[in-house]
Amino acid sequence: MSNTTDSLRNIVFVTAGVCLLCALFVSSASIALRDKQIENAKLEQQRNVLSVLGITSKNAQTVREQFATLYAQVVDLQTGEYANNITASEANVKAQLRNSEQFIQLTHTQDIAGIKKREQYATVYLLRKDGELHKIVLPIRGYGLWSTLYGYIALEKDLNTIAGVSFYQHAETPGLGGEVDNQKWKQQWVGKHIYNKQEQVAFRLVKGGVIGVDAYGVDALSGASLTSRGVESLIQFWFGNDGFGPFLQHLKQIS
Amino acid sequence: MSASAKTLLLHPVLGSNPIGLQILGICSALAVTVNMNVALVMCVALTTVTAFSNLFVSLIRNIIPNNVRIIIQMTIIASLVIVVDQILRAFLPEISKQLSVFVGLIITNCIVMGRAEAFAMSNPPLASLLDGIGNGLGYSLVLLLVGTIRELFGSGTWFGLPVLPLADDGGFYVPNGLLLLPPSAFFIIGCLIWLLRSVKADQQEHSEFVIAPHSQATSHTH
Repeated sequence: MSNTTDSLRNIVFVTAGVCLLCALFVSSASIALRDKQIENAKLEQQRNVLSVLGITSKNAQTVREQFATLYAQVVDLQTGEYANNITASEANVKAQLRNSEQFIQLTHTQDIAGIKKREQYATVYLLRKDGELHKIVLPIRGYGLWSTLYGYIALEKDLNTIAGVSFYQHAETPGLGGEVDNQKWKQQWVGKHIYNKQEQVAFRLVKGGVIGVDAYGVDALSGASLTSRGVESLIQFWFGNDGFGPFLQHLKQIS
Repeated sequence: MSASAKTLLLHPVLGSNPIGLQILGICSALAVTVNMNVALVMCVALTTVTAFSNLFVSLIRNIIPNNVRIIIQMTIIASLVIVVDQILRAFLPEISKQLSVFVGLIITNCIVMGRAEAFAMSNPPLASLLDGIGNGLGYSLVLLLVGTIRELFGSGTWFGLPVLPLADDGGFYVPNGLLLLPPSAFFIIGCLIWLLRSVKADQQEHSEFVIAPHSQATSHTH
């Protein structure tokens, strides 16, 4: 028995056979399940957007219905205007960042958030009430300590007061930088202002905790200086001239 | 069901529990037992992988070359784990996120490899399948017990449903935070092993030698 099982011919035959069968098995399963997984990812993204608006339902039907009430608009970050000829699916950020004509390489002074490239088109979500803008959701991202934090931030119709924030993807240290997921901390953001009266980004994370009433500050995260700095920097970037600054100014003018 | 099929299925539950007696597969038991939903999915995933890997290894046991047998077992186990992971991501995305890397780590779970090598390589397919299911059931029993204790006394819920009213919500129960941390699973498993070996005395390990009392170095005249 051992003679034939250990012969070179048998080794090659069995190894090749097992690899082929396993590969077939894995790839068929992967392809068969791909549609469902893509749908799950989409639902997940919709849930993330809704969470910063205070809608936390997990029910798939509710999520789809609530998301349908939002207007997804593609914005040209360069000009700050709506890019009505681009659909939301064409404005996929990852695809843009791979296409050299659809992103700008940030210079060292521009790249406060450590994201290196900035796409040309971003998708924002508007919640309207009685025909008027009620809240707006903007996608934000920036580098923390170990990873890029991806999140959404919601603003009230004055385009300055924060209505909600959430970082749906990151790999910061659990218990330290990972406390960006802490509900109580996220709650501190609600009602704070981004811009001061001079139209500059004044929002920051205060080391040692906010003292008294501070319209522009939330507590920095204890034991997570670099993550806190990363969060503050990404807010500065995305609300500055290379982020949504031009768009928010434009929006203020047309509303 | 024949007597031997019943033995294959039930012996690993109490008589030869993979965690309790063989002390295998502890790592995942620590990580996924914080709540019952996650623990249950992990149990089903591991039982499925062990059962089918046993089956497939057993089917080709006579033609597997000896010098690459571990790698071939690994390939089969890894493929099964990948498929199970994909299925979970498609149909149970929330739980899949909570399980995160631990589904992938089933590949490294000693129980799967251990049964493939110790049983499936030398037994027919149906027996191997049943043995795989049996070991999976043994693992599941321990995980569900640990999960019950940790979720019940650590969060006051069971399968997410409130059982003990929490003090924060106006009830009487102040949850034991230690039970939400991994070391608590270690303590609970230790106690379970102690309990199991008290009930089933044949599982107790006996010392291979007994230390003799101190003796003086003497010249041998006695």
